[in-house]
Amino acid sequence: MSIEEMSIPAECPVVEFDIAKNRPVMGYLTELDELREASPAYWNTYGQGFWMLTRFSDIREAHQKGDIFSSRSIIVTDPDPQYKWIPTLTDGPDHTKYRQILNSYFSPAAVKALEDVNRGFANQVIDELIDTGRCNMATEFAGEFPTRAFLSMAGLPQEDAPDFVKWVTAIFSQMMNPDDHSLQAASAMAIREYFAGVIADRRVNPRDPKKDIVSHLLASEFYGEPLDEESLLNICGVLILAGLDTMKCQLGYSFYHFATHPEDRQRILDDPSLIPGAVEEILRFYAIVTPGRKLNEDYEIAGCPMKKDQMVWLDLGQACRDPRVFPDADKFILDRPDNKHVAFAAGAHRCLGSHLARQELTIALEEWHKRIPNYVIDTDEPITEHGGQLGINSLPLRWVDL
Amino acid sequence: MRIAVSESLCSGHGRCYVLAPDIFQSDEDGFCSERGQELEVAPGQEEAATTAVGACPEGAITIL
Repeated sequence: MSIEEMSIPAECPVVEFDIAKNRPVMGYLTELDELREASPAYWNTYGQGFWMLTRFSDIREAHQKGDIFSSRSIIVTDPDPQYKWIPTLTDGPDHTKYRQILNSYFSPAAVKALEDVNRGFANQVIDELIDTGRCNMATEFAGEFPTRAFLSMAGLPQEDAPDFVKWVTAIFSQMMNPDDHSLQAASAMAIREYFAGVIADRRVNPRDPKKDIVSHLLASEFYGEPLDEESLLNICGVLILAGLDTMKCQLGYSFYHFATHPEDRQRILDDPSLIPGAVEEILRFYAIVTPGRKLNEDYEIAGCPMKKDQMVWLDLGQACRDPRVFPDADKFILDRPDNKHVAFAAGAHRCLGSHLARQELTIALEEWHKRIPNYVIDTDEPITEHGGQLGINSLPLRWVDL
Repeated sequence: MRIAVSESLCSGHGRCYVLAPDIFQSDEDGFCSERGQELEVAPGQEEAATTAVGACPEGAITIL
């Protein structure tokens, strides 16, 4: 249907906003802030076209109404995905059941039990780079630490970390590209093959289901039946996708912030008990995830007549930086009260890994600043970010006074 | 002060039981144990309750 045929009402203006390309750092969030203030919704002609909701209340409503805003596709430029991420691309009671299977690994209690081990991994990565006096934070610490923590939690070998870093980087480099998903497909296949091997091993040599996620999945039941091979592969694949690149991107912005805001860095150096609150403000101010949803039925919201099977983009940064909900939304307030951000989305698909993510971010900031309290950005090149899941491409840091 | 926690809206962000642990607890899946209930807030706990109201991204906690 052409834009003319769609007869988009005046309240719902048309925009061409590229959601994949590189922009100067903070370009996405600030341009999207402007779009939000100008209109609660748009039809975006990028790719094959999709709606955008721009304000906290509508973005949250769309997430809470999962029966209307389906997760059967969540990448707006890929409305008919050939992959089936579980539980991410499921809805309703099935989705709830899959989440229940996974909860024992991601619950607050399970995550709390990992704290000492994860603190160890953070320090291990710091050990490896501290003597160099510098690192590229966008890739080195930010990619390594979460990968090692994840592999340990899942019962997988640490020596596989470089492969995971490589595969995840490749997939996210193409995720929002409307024309070419070939690199993404190749890496997704590599991940599939890896887990097919692990599954085959654990069928014959099951390990403790409390410490080995594949053994746990093999011992789990979905409506009274074991999970089939395809479901097992889909679940394993999405855990990689959901947990590693997100952490890498969020850590990148965290250190970008503290490198460029020495007054905030000094506050957490003087009082590390501020770090958990600072993590919430990092999540809000630098919200990186940009989910999509697919309409299950015709629905009108924010003046837009959305039609069944159309896609809608629900940028979490626009919600998190909405001044209707957050006073001085465009200011980073380290100890902001009432920080009800939706950086982990909302509704049933609220990020399963949110407790783990919070722990990893807190540990990263605590341990790093104990050992490398002062650092600066070490390049004259402009800092840039990519779209999809927002992330800084390169962040060279150099320590000072160490 | 009486508060209510919506069972349908609680999605397990966990801000309530992290910020106001004397009022809210986590169930084993990370949801608020008090969801679906109305609670009387003990004297001296009003500020903690208000903090939780302001921190819940779903708006699941309301002051009655």
